[in-house]
Amino acid sequence: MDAAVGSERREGVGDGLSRYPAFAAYVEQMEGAAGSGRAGEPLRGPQAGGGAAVGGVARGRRVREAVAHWMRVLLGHTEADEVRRGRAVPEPVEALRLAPRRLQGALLAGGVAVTGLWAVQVRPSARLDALFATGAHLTGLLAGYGVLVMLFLMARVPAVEHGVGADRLARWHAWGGRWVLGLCVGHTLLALCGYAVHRGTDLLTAGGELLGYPAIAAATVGTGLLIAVGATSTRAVRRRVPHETWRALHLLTYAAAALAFAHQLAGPEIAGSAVAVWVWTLLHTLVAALLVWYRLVVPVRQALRHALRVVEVRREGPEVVSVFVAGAGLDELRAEPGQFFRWRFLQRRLWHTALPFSLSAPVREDTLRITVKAAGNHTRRMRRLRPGTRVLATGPFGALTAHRRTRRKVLLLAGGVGITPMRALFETLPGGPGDLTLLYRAGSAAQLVLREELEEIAASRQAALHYLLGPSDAAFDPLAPQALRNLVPDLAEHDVYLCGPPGMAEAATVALVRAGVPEEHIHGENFVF
Amino acid sequence: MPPPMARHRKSAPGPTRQARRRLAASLAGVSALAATLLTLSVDPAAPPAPDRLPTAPDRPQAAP
Repeated sequence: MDAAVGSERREGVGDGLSRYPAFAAYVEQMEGAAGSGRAGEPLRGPQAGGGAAVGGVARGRRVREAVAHWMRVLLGHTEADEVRRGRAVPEPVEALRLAPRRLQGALLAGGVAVTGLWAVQVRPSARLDALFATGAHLTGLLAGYGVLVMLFLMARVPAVEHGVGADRLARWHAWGGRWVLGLCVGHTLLALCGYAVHRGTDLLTAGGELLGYPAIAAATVGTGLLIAVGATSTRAVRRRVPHETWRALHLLTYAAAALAFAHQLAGPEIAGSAVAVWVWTLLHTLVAALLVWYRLVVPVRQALRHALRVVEVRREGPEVVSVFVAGAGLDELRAEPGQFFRWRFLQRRLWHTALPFSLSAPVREDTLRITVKAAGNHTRRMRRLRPGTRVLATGPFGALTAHRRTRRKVLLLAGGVGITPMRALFETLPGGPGDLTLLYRAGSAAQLVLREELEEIAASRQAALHYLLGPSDAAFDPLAPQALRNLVPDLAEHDVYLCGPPGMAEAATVALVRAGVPEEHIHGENFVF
Repeated sequence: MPPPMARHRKSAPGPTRQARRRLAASLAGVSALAATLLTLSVDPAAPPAPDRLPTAPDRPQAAP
């Protein structure tokens, strides 16, 4: 089976290779060197220094296939096996999406249930120590629940990511994180004060006595870690700290949650009932299982299964390149136009950073395409990606997809590099002549990207395409409400998909609402998170 | 006598839906097992909660 898988995968990558001569040359070199027994000899030419020795690549592939095989055995029959057994394409299955309101409702209901758990057991008392303790119990329960919710929001559960959207989840997480931190600190202070009053001692002595309990000491360390994570997440600090450093520090949240777990089981509202203890523990283990599965197992499995590699880097304009990435079985990812992946290119000076980029074209022949503008050091280095470079891509993520459409007519409004998901939607959103309009805002004609493709799509689909050129501080604002109504006469009857820099997206949303588009028909995604 | 109506059965779920259900069941099962083990093994000590005591709190004895 491994040999069959290997040959199928090779064939899958080989289809359409002639369109990528540089990668085809790389594959021929690999296979030619392996056949002549020159295992271990480094590649020559442009690929030199960019990849492993040929023998190591072949061994790596065998290891990869073996691991992938055992993962399938452990994880049971999957649709990938169905594809290998002769079905042409994976069955069309509606993606699972959890609507934002439904998720908010569920989380609110959870908070009400936790508060109810406290309320039914509270014993009214006017004693100061009892008042402090009652407040400590409530804040402790809500803080524990809040930590679980924050972790769940970032677990990358597909139904949540595709239904709510990665940017909205990140905003909820940031907003909720401040409250959770406040609850943790509040719980600590109230518990300390309650204990000190109860024991008739000062705060320091009371604190020392409480730290003698191991679970409380661990929870205190966890609270300290949460405070550190919160402090490094403030705008002032994030501007000064590299993104990957901030992400590494943020992972301390897992340690904080683990350290605080045992202490929560000692709370009187939970400890009083074995069922309550089990249910509270189950909530924690469920969230932990989701995190392990979707943030660890799925990315590793995807990397082994799809074996993504760069096949071509094509210049699209000044500072803009398209990167073509090929792999095997990409249909299984069910990536939709409008979605993005988090990309990690395993090349020197690039491997340590993973950034989100939208697909700029639908998935075709097991090839993904992203179009990237050089806006920082990492994206500048991406222009020098070498064909054959391995790629780790997690996803797809994002909810800016066709499922949000509610009307026949659609307006796609793109600014700058926000054109990338809009181009994919422009090509694939169902619609007849006149149903689709694309407005592309850019500083000048030289900054337009994928122009030929957009014009080709507009011509073939009889869709409207308008370039809104000019600096953002010009006297005439092409995104003013009246200007939009002039360009799109029945604007209020459109669904609007919006993607661009935050300032432009905000201004465009305000203008669209003023021009008569209901807010619930404006669908956007903000990549600054 | 007309032939009996054919019984209409709901079609079996496809492999993807089966895989999703299997995944959900596996994650839930593993979580429940872990929760049971943790519940049995974790028993943290904590001071008595002041608002759950039946009597007035102890105070340090005054010196005679």
